[in-house]
Amino acid sequence: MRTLIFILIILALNACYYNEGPAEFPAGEVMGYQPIYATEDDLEIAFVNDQPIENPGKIYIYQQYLLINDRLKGVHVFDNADPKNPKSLGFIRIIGNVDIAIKGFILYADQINDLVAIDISDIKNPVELDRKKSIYTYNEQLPPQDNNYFECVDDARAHLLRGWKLTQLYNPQCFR
Amino acid sequence: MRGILYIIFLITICSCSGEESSIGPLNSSGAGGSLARFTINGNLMYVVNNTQLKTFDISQGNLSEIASVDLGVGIETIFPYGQYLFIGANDAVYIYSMEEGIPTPISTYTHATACDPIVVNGNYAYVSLRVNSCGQFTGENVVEIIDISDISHPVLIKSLTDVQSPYGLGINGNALYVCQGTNGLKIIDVSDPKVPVDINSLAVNAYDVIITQNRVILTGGDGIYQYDISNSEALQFLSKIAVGQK
Repeated sequence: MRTLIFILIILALNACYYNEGPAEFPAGEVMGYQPIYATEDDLEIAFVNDQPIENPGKIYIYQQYLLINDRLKGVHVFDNADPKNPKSLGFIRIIGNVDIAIKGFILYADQINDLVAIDISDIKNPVELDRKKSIYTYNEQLPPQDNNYFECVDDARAHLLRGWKLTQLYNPQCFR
Repeated sequence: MRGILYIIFLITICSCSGEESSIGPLNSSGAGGSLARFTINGNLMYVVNNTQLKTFDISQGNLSEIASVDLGVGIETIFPYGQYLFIGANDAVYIYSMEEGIPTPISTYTHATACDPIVVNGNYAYVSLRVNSCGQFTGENVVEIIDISDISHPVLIKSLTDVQSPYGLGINGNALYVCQGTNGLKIIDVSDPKVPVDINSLAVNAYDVIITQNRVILTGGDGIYQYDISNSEALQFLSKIAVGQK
């Protein structure tokens, strides 16, 4: 038994090599990250009224339009025919989206772990053409900052993980 | 005793992930440089996830996977140029050829640990390296100019150290645009890449930039700015779409 513990301790120390310090469990009440899950319904792509820009990411020029990704939310659509006066037309809601590309009249977008092809020939009426599920399966499982406790990701809902919030946790079982 | 074992076990499984510390799409702390997860070349779409480069045929409108290559961990971004794909990873920039459709490896530039967009123009590639990019300490803020005229042997020819916190890059002819976050936008003449010359700078939050048809579109922390550059690299303000604005 002593040998087993010794081996486990060595393993644990090695695993913690990249962290500033080993986490202690049980952690009790601590600040940490809690997963935010989307629902299956949230994955539906929809054109909605214009939204305030919160966290601009990738920008894309398409015809006379200027498309602005809002991280993890979707894509703002502006008519940019007059660059001095871009006009907001609305918002393509793609929850969990960070990157977009366009070929022809098809918008390709990542959505959480999926990759989606969307017909935007009528930009105000985006239509999902195809979806490849679980293309991405990596960082999504980890909170944004090192050296934090977090609530472990629920395997059954891992594909719906859309973000993290920093909050008070009780005895979280994970740490990075 | 069981308790101790359990705790050690938890520490082991939960802390392993520390070493990956790469910028993920959920790491949305402020407006970072754009994180490219895929790119399109002709009828093929190239997608990077953390470890793989996947190729999809999109000629029929749908997504049809035709190839997948394992590249190891820590892939951050992908940038196409001509027949080549530049893939920025934690440990290197990987160069692939798209000539055959399915990507084939050409060379690896290991000096850089690139998390930010790479831009390529003519015989040169530009890579921004930022202290603390990828959530790891890279040592210095620098933009590297790499000679890729022999694509199988990329060679560092110049390090631009006179930049602060470089994020996204853009290129317009001989003018290199360096977004420096809260330190503003810097425009550098790189017509002789060994002797870069500062042309202009702009005090605006700058994280990413695209340059198109005499226009510069800049992503700042507080909005999207558009400038006219038909009159050289002197930026003429056109408009701003502010964060918080509908």
